[in-house]
Amino acid sequence: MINQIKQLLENFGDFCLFIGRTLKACVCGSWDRFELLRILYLVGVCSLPIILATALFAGAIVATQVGSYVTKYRAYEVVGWGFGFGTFRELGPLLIGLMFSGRVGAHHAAELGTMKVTEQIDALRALAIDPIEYLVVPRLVAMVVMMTLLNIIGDFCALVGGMVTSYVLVGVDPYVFWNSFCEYVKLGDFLNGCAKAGCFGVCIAFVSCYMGMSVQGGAPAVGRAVNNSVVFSAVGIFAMDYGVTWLWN
Amino acid sequence: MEPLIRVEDLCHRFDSKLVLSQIGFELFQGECLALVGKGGAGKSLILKMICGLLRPSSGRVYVFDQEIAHASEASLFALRKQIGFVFQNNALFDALTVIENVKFPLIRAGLNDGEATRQALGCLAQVGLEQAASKWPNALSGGMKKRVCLARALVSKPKLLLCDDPTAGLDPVTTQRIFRLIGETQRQLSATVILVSHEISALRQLCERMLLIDGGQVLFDGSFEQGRLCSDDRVSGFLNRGMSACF
Repeated sequence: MINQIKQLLENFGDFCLFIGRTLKACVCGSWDRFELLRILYLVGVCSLPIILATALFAGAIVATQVGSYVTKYRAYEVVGWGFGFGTFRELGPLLIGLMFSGRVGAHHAAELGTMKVTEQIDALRALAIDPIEYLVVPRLVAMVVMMTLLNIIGDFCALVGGMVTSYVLVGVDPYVFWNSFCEYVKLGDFLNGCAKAGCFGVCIAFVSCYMGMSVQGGAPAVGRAVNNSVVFSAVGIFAMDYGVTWLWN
Repeated sequence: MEPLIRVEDLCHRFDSKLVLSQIGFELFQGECLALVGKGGAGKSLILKMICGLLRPSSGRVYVFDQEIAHASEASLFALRKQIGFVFQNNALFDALTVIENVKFPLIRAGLNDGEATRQALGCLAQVGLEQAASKWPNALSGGMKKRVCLARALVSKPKLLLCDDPTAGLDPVTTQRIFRLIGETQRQLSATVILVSHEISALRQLCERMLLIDGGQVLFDGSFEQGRLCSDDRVSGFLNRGMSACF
């Protein structure tokens, strides 16, 4: 038991040092433009279809859930507000964050883990290249930027999904939906979601890169790193969600 | 004349197990040293410690007059620009093509793309792989990967070349070719070379000196001829068996 606690504290300390080294490299290091563009493309453009599909269904699900109560109480004029408030502030960033963690975070944990076990990270060090500067910094920047951008795109995709579903299943006129949305949903709700998405990006980047870079062993260790990356990213996302909500309010 | 590498009382533990014990030797500019011994004797660990990739539990390592066992990672980066390292498992970057792998250290050092490509192609021609420049590492055979790894290590014209079993698992023809390349490079660049290998016969032609590691300790330090005639059966036996295995 004591050994487990000691190990846990060691890992936490190691994680904090990793964050410190990455932030230092962000500020003091030189950025590899081509690697950053490559990662931005992989993280952002390649994730777009899955994020759009998630957002579209998220919007449709919220509209369907809200629909039964709207019909019961005939509160058609609040559908847009209920939908926008819930999706922009909470459901959008949370679902997109979890999808992003499963797709991008797991991918990077596996890629960096494989590089570690095949000595590619050591090869970088032997070539006088800082692996944090070359591998981690572009991933951190790309994940924060793309998570925020994907959240913005996802929000509007969810809005379309919600509007169409409300019209088809609940019979809410899109004009009524849009009016309610514009009247009650504030810019702060949208910015709140964007702030959350950015924080989730930071969390996913740090957790997945740390898990990949700290792999020791062979293929099973890479598998464990991917697993840990997804689990700890999800925990981090919920914790950050709570933190941002608490601070914002 | 100051030695290029000085290793003093090097010890290393994995958990509580002592894997290297009081390793000590010196190596001068232009020398070629063979590190030999059974598998798991600790040869690769010594190479990694000389490059600063692994910190010893105790002891000191001086490379180019700089103590590296306790140096910061940032100060080691400047030192490593003068070192070429050939990894046992090649460690080629999967996300880069052969030419990109070879020119990678030059690009990162600030050279423009055209000049880096020219130099990298020259190195690939040296190892006979200029036709494979646009291929991906996973499309290469084991021998080709080794040669790309060697080209990547040589492209920066290192003063110190560390080769960790550069011929492991290769056929005799490719093995000869790689040893010939290392020998030519050493002569052209006046580089200091440390070679870890089990090819005793080839090492004997290339290296004037060998260090036999056994159980994490230096069992013998001297020439191959001295080793063969050594009164210690473990030394002469290892060398004679190693050489007869080649015929």
